[in-house]
Amino acid sequence: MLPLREGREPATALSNSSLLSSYQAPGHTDMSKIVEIDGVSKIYGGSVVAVDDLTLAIKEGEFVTLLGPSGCGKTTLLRMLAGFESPDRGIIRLAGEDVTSRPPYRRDVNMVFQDYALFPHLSVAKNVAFGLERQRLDRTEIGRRVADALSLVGLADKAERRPHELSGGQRQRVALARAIVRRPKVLLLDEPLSALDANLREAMQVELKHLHEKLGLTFVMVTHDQTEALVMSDRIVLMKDGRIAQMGEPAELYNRPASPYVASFIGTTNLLPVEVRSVADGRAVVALGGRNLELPAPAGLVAGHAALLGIRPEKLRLETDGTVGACQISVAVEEGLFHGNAVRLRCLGEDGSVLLVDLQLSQSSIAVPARGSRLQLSCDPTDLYLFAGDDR
Amino acid sequence: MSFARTSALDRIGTGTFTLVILCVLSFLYVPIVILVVFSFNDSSSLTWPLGGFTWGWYEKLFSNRDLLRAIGNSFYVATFATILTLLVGVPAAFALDRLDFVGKRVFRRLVLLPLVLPGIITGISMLNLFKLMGIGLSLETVVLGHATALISIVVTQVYARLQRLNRRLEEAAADLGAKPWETMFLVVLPNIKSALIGSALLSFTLSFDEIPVTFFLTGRDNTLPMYIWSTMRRGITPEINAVGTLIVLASLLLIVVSVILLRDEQER
Repeated sequence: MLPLREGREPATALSNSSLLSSYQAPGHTDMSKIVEIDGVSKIYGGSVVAVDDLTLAIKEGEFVTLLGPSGCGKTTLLRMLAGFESPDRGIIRLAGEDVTSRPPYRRDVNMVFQDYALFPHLSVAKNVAFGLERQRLDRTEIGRRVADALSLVGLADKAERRPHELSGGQRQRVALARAIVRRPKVLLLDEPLSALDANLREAMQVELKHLHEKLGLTFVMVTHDQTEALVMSDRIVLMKDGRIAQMGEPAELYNRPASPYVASFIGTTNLLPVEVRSVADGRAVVALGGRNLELPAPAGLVAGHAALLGIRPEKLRLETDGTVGACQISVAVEEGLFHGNAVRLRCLGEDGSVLLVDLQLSQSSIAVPARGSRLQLSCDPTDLYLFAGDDR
Repeated sequence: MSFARTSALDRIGTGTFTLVILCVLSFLYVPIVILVVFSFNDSSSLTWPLGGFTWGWYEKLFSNRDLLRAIGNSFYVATFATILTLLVGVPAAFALDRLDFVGKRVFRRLVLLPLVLPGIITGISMLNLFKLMGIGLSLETVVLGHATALISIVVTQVYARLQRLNRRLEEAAADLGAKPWETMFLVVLPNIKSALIGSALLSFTLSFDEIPVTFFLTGRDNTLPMYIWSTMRRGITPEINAVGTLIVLASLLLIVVSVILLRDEQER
């Protein structure tokens, strides 16, 4: 565990985070925006578009996660921030300064590498001191800051060890200490937890989050793990094919996904094909289970066309008392997977579509429904979201 | 059960194995032991039985001007051939590893050629070249001749090590504010140290006892192997044994030094 001292209140990021989702980088500069990515594109080999005209602003002290499947451009974007890759188009600003064509060694950012990239020929203390020595600080200052950084990550007693003598988790901490000891404007984290085993990874998620709150630095992390992103970030930037699919607070992406892609990448979502009956005044009427439902209409929804209705498995409830809710679905249980605190039912709707249902087993009165039994499910219309088109 | 038999077989196996190792070791080292023993033998003929103990051959050696000059020449040639090889070979290895240039594959194959080419061919061809260019033969032409043959060793060793080097280390160094030259001297070179020291030692040794190329390219100066070879016409003298013993001693020292220098890296 990181020996986190009693620190000051979590830095600005958390308390302001509701404002952040509206930040889009404009043409002008703003000091509170520590990173501005303005219309940046990166094309490999003349044809492979890794990052496509992407614009993003990151506020000072924020913990932003670039999330997406492999090949979505998130790592390329991070490497462009570090200066290892240069954009083919667009501008990157750091604290208001254009750093687009600046080499990595003249940028005030530091990176925690996926494989840690510790210098094998140097001791732990020398690894951490490396960046400070490049700044030509005096030796007592370097010694003090190295000791501080190492005790912050709980490795004060390992200063004279070589990296190969440490465990994976300890190496991770050295990499972290080496990157934060320079107090960079932005800390870049490239899949920092992917090399750790599951238990350690979960513990480190919390530690990293605490470290962020304690240091008040801006963190930009790349991951393909949605749980990691949900747990740690102030804001998630979900990417697809080099573009931003959606960005916002974790809860916003989870509860109000902008597209079927977002809905199914973050958490699990049932996507049911429905027919749009009518659209008027921003409201749409769709048919579900033989009943008409009125829901807020997304842009591009056309009456008579197909649409997708999304609902999270845990938002579906068992209809037990016979009262009829606003929306009802009757299904047949195909399979039940027992998870201890919950059971996930795989059900078939009347039209043959698959529906996942999570039932909390907190009340012992609820029995796990038997295979083949018919269930009446209900849900709140506010938990439903409509997507135009039937493209998942 | 079969435990007793297994252990009996084990003992036989271990015994045979030990015997084989002893044979190999004696095959390798008995000639050297004989060389060392005869260098202290109080008789000018190399025959059994041994006479008394003497330092005489060493005293003779250190008063033999020609021999000492030959040893000096050999050190001069080996040292400068090694330096020249490193100066040309290391950048060439970096170019092969990092740069993309036309004819890179051909270059990678061609650089190996001097290593497999017989020394006589290298010697004759370079002799022709120097004659054409009107360069007189001297120890310096020997240095050039050795360096061409040895560059392939440095290039292949250093290139192989660079291929295994994690490029993220260099990115990490740059990320931490190291300018390119700082990354080179503080991160890259320390991490390919073993290949640098190894190929330097190998180059030095190979240059030190090289005869064919030296034979063609030297002027009036003799190197140690050339001197030994030329005195052989008058038969082996115990004096040569003394030189040999000193060289064995120096080689042992070199091995110890290189083990100490490379110890850090082997721990990984």
